[in-house]
Amino acid sequence: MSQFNINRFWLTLKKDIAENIKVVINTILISLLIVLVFIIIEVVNSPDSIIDLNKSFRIYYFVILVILGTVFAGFSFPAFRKTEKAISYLTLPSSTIEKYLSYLLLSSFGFFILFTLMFLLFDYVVIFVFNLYKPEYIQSYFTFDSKIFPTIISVYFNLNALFLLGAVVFKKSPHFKTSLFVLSVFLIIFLTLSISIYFVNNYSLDLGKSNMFHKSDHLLIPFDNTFPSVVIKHLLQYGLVLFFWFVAYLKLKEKEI
Amino acid sequence: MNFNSKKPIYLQITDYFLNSIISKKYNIGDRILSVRDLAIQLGVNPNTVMRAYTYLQDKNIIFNKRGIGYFISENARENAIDIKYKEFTNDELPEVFDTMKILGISFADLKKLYKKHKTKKSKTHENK
Amino acid sequence: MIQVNNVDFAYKKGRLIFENLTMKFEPGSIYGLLGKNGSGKTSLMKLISGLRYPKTGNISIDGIDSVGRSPEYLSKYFLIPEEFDFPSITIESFVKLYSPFYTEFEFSQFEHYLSEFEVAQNSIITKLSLGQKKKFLLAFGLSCNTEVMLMDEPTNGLDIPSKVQFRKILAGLADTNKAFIISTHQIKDIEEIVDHISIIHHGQLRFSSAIDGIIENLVFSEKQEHNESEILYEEKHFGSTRIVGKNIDNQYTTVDLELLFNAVLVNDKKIKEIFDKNKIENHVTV
Repeated sequence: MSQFNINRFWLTLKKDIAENIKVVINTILISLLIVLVFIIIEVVNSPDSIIDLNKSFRIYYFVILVILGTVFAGFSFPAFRKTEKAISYLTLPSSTIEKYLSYLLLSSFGFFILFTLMFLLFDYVVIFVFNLYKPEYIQSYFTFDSKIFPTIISVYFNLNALFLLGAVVFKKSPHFKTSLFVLSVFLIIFLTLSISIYFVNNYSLDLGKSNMFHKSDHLLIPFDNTFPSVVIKHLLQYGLVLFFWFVAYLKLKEKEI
Repeated sequence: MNFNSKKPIYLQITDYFLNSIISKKYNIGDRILSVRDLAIQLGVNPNTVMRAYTYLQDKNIIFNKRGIGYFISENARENAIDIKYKEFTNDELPEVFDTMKILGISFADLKKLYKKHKTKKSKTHENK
Repeated sequence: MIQVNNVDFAYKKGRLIFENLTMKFEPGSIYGLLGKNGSGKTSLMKLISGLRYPKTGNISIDGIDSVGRSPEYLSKYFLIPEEFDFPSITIESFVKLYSPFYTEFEFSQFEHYLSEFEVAQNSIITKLSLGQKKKFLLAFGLSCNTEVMLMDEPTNGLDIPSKVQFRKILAGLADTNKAFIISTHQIKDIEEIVDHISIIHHGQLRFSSAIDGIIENLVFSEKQEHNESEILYEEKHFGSTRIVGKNIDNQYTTVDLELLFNAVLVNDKKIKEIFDKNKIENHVTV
């Protein structure tokens, strides 16, 4: 037996899906219902000529994807919320990497794909019905905005990975504790930066006076489409994701109940 | 069988077999339960039953046909009576004598009690 | 074989629960692990199941180390914890999802145990009573046929017929290549089914012997039958005094585990001496 066995991994995945799928689908359905209400309000309240439903749908897609994705990531490894459940989860004969990959796949990629598919279907039905009743104001179907889509994906995965880690580390209310942790980290960074700037910049926080920032108005690393800068850009976007995933795995391996 | 007496469980199991053989509940050549089955029936550890069977084998009460099971030996009854006789004379009788001494019961008293016991028993027999 | 080697263990920031604990559990036996509340029984179960790791020393089953919880290690045992929780699905779906992880799982065996315990197969687990849940867990765990069964207070919450049923099932499962470890303070429940007793007190293994060895070395009886000099421990009951004594004239008496337990807590050094001495003597005669 090795640490990764595709059969055993499949069994683990199947079990985790069976235990979580109902809640995930129901939550997605409820949020889509709320979106529907918003869309109806929008349609009723605006003069027909200026409606751009595609734009609204893009916003809803982004907001719900990120919020629900983060929430579900924080609900990963539900067994750890209760010692009794954690015992049977940890003693189940599959390896840490199998248990870990199962939840990583489900709460990051699985949710992303499931939600996107459900949303596209929802969009299709709503637009189809709208176009049927108001053929004079034809609305277009959902398309991804290629400019901000990579950013959305990056935000989604960064938050997702962070809260996945939180779900492994914290026993009770992982969402709240993870948020609190991140806020305090930001606060510390902000304070350290402010204080160092204050001292370096001749006891002033007004960056306009500083010599350091006068020379160039653009970013420190100029991004263009050359190979190294694309790599650096992606590393900045996804480096933390990989880091969080790795730490979450280590924490799961070391977990003691 | 229940396990209230002072004897260890394995000896209580051997007692059960000895008594059953003396009272002819088991006869020569009868097959007895396997170690596992008796352990399950009594809810005791199979090693305990095994120990009882080994004891009975040593005393020539039962014998083991390899792969088939345990059977009552030819001289089982004589051997069983012998064991119980020794037990009675060595362990139980001295206790009775001690009690008689303490309570001041004579052999004449004992004889009367024995007669009473016998008539009582035959009466209950007739009633049946 | 389970090997606990020179284990030191403490919960975070807590006092040392085990100090240099060394124990062995071999296949072919049903072990009774006795100890007061807080003696370290549950901690030992957690250590063996890899839910906790030792600070120093190591724990292994058939040579595989507990640290890292490899699937090889985890599939060696099944743990019946004292407290447990299940997903809210039916027994049937639970078995479908969980049993494939245990390669030796026997469905017919599971069905048989479940019917003996009188638990309906189509019930939703979370809606069962505590006793029913326990019976389901026992039926499932015992059907996994793992080499090692770790059971923490398995008879807690069982009614009397179920306790009898439990002993019968264990009697049928006991086998030369399996080890059962039953941790309990309900001594009476397991008295007839165990064939080895280990007593833990304050994180130390105070006593460990096969029942046969106890019968050979010690007697359990009423006081008047014995001389003072051989008495290792005595306890007053209504009108009589129960004693644990040294067995000098091959008097075989039934083991009173409660009495033995109390005797060990009071006088374990003397008891150990008797066992060690007899071991040497037996060795010489052989």
